[in-house]
Amino acid sequence: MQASTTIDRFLITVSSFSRELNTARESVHVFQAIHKVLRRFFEIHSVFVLEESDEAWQVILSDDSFPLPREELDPLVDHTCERKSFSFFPVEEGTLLVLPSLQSGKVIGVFVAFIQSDPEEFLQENESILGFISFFSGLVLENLRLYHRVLDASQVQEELKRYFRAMLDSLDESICVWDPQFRRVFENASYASLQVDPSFEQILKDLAAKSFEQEKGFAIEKEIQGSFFSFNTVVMDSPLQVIIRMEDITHTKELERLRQIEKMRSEFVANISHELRTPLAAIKAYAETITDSLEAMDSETLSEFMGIIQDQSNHLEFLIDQLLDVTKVENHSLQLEIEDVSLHALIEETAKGLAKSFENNGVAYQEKIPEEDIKVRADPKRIRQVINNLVLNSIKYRDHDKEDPMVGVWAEWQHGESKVLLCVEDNGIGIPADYHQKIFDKFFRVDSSLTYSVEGTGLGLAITREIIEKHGEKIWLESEPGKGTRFFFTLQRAEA
Amino acid sequence: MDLKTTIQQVEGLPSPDFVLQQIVETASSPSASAKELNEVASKDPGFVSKILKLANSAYYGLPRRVAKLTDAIMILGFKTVRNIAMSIFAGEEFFKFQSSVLDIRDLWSHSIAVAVTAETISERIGYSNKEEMFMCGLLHDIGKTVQGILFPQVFDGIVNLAKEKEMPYYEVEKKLDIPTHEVFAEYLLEKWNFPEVVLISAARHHRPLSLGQSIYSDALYIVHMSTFICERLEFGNNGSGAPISLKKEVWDELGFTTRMFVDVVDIVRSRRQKIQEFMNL
Repeated sequence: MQASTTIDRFLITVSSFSRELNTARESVHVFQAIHKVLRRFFEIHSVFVLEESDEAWQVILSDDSFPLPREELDPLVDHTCERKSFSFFPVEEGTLLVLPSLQSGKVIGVFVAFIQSDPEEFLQENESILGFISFFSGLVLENLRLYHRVLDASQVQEELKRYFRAMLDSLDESICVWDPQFRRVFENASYASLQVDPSFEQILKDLAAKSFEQEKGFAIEKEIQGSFFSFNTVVMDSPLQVIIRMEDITHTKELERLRQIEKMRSEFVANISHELRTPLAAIKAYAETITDSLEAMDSETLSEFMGIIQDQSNHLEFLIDQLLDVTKVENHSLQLEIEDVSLHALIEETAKGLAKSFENNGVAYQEKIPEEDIKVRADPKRIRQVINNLVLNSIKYRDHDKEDPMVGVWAEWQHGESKVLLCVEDNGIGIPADYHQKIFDKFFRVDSSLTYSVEGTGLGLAITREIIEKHGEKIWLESEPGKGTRFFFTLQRAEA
Repeated sequence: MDLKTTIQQVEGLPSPDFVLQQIVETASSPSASAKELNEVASKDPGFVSKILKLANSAYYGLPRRVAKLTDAIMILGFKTVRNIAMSIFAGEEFFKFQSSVLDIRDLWSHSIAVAVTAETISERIGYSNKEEMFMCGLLHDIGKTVQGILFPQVFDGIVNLAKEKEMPYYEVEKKLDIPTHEVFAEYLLEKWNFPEVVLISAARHHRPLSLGQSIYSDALYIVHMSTFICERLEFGNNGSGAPISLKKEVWDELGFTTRMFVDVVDIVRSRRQKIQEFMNL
């Protein structure tokens, strides 16, 4: 049998050492590997292991039977650190092997073994192996430290992630994040609870697309499936993603609407008192004058005064009727008396009743009605009220800068169709688009202030709409500020 | 100065005596035990006491005095004891000649500094065979002592010219086209039958890339780098009129960084005082 050469034995030992280190995950495993390999060379009685940690020595392994107290061991360890080489120190009843783990010229671990072999028998070849272990163990220790640092770092990252996740989940706002391929890469708990359906999701994707396109975020409010949402988008650079924050502001909107109504209501009270007081004051003044000077009054003056009292009484009655009507609008208790009515008669009568108003305000009246007599299914009193309201509004809101203010009423129908379309048209000041829906709300006035540049209760259009809707018909308008307004409504034709 | 006479002249130089040769041989033999090395050395008690004196010096900073050679071997290791023995021999037999232009103690001081620096670099870059590197550093300029002992006028001439022209020693040798100190070192160490790594680093430390890729490349690079550092730090005096330039490839091959370089320089500086112990032999 051929004896192993030094190189053979060196390789065999290094192989065993690297195999032992293969499963090392903690620094203690490295020292256990050193222990295991050195046991094959020396009769190791006990070991003591130190590892450098934050510039201080930590005891990693310490056998109870290790014979040397720290105060005797420390100078030997210091010497090893200074020389950066292993040493055998003869001690009582044995030898101490002090083996440093070297990394980048620093000692980061010290393996101490109490050996009971005869030191004089130690061979030179062990020196190469110990030297190698000294350097190689340092390398592995350093790698394990790096490995743990990476692990720690990813753990910190995980914790941070959980922390932010919890924070984002605690928000009432819903948050989602989209990548350029329109995949949702993040959602918070609030978003998940929304149970977003595909059409809603499409809206979010469109918002993301718009943000990517503009390369910046924006804010927008949208009505989706009967709820109001506010959206805020933010574009992130790296990675390129869009964050969308959204909030259901339906309740906020509703609250805002109620507040608006409350404001209008209080304005209305102030307004209506004023409206009622004006005719009442006139009636009172004229009645007092007549009572005080009945004898001195000629019949012509008396007749004029009585006429004024009658007019003002009528106006007062109109206002009170409106108030009663609006109550009916409130609880939808408006009653109609539907019959077959002549459209001609309806419009003619109304126009006749308004003739004085046209004259007084210098407004021209135009009319365009099909020649044949058309019968409609309607409550004649109420439809007259509608036309009356609309025309009076047109007069009220005429454009004082225009030389030829006008109001037109026209109606048309087509053969074979069951509905008649009526229109009240003017060339007045017009209504801004924002108000086209709101003007039908009760108490609403475009000027909406206590200045009353134009008198009125703000109830007319609310009542008008209620009447038309009670007929099962619709009312709408087209208007352009400065040009004029057209109110349209439909009525059902009476069967021939 | 032809090559043949040169070689013959080298034959006449002192060789390590029998005991030293045996110490070096035994300390280098893998199968040798501490006991064996002790037996070999004990034949020259005077030499043993010199070894113990150096082993107990501040340079090695032993936590306790050693009185026996076996203890010194145990604590410092075979190779370090061998290095000590070699240092004593080289210091006494080679770095002792007289020169009118250079204090040879400075050349000796430079050699020890290069030895320490080579060991320090090894530690810092993780080259585990560091005791061998001490030996390589220690003997890298042994060729200059050969020149100084055998051809004092030539040696003085090179040193003078180097000083005057502000050129590195080796560049002057090349310019004069004479056998360089690398060549003398190679002959001497070959004659002594020294380890190949020591021979190669002495014979090629100015031409670190001349070997291409070899198992001795790292050792050669380390000695080259050590020489550069010690010249820059003006550690001793190796007879050069200007420091050598560092080969960029050596820096890259050793994976050096500025941080490493600074670390090595700091450690070598801090060891400077202790290195003086070698001078007091």
